[in-house]
Amino acid sequence: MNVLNHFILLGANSVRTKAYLQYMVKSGNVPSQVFLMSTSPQDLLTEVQQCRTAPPPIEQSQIFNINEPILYTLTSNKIPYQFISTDNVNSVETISAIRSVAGKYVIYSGFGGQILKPEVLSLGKKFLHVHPGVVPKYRGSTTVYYSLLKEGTIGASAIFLDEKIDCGAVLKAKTFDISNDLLDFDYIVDPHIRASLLVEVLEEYKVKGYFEIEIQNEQAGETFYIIHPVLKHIALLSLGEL
Amino acid sequence: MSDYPYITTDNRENRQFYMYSKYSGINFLEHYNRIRSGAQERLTHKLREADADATAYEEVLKAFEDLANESEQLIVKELFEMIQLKDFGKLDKLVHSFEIRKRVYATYDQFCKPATKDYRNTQPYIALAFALSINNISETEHLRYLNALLKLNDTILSFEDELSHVEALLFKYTLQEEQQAIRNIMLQKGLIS
Repeated sequence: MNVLNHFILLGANSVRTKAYLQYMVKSGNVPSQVFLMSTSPQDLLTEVQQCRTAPPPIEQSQIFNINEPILYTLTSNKIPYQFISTDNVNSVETISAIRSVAGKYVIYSGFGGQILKPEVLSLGKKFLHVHPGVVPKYRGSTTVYYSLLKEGTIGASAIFLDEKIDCGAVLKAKTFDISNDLLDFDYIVDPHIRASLLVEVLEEYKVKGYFEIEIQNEQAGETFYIIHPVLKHIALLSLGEL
Repeated sequence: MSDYPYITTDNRENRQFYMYSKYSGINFLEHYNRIRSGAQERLTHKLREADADATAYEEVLKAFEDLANESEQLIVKELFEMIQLKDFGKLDKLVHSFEIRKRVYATYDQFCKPATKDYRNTQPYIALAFALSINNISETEHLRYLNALLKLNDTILSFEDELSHVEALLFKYTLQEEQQAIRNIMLQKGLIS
């Protein structure tokens, strides 16, 4: 296992964090340290105690194990971790934890809807975020569905976060094939495409030793808001066989 | 749990954020259609009783003009002006404000932030919904408007009984436009023929 010394991961207890860690383990590149933000770390500990020997089996139609506890992935692959007792990425506790480590890059998998405040962005780290849409065309929320409706495609962009939503420098953006086997866009497809792109850019970094970035045109594209269920249904039904 | 759970007793208070909404297959779209068609029938009945119905855009626009002239809600006047001048530059900012807050306010400042705490009045909701509905919402480049309109119309349906006749007339028009836009998109996607 290759430890990426310049990278830490800051995550919430979410499906996305699970996908990130499992894909990183599978790719052989893992962060040097993981910070888990949770107001109830005991729940995470209890969860992992229940599957000491093996994680619950992967369910059919899943491409990563949504049932595998984050702590199981971390402990079984000897990835150091710490809890941050918070549900807010901008909290004093989070800032203090990030400040305490040397890594230059923070792989960010935080809470939905929270925007990093200037106090966090000015800690001297680069926050690597994977957005589920090709920017600048698809900024904002639930863009997977909008791109399905508009172009019949889905995509993701690895970006460095800055003060403006989804406007940061782009490391890589790409579209993905859609598999009719994958039914759950919110909990499977979205984390899958993000995690897939994440491991791609980390592999590229490992090979080159740096990230190639492209600055976005802030004026281009548009920002989307949480999709209405009617449009979401049309987007999903347009894939057929659901 | 209702088959279409996004209309509460008053969405202005029980705001709907639509995150991780459940997928229920084609049945959900049938429920949606039933809800919207039922509302149109009720509105038609209400307007017929008052002998106030109108279907042509020009007639509905005239009704909006009357509403704007009489309204004490600044945003209603601004939205009418926007439509008259065909200058929709501010509409994106109003959509942003609505999407964040899920409420429409009586007045906004120059940055389109609410300049009052009053979000209970029905007119601003109707006026914004109408302004959105006339912006080619069937076209995919205007999906953000259709998205906001669907949420606005859910909200208005939650206080449907409070609508005056002129508001009901405008709302009936926006519902028709919304349903037609959804039908067009479903047609484009091969979901109906």
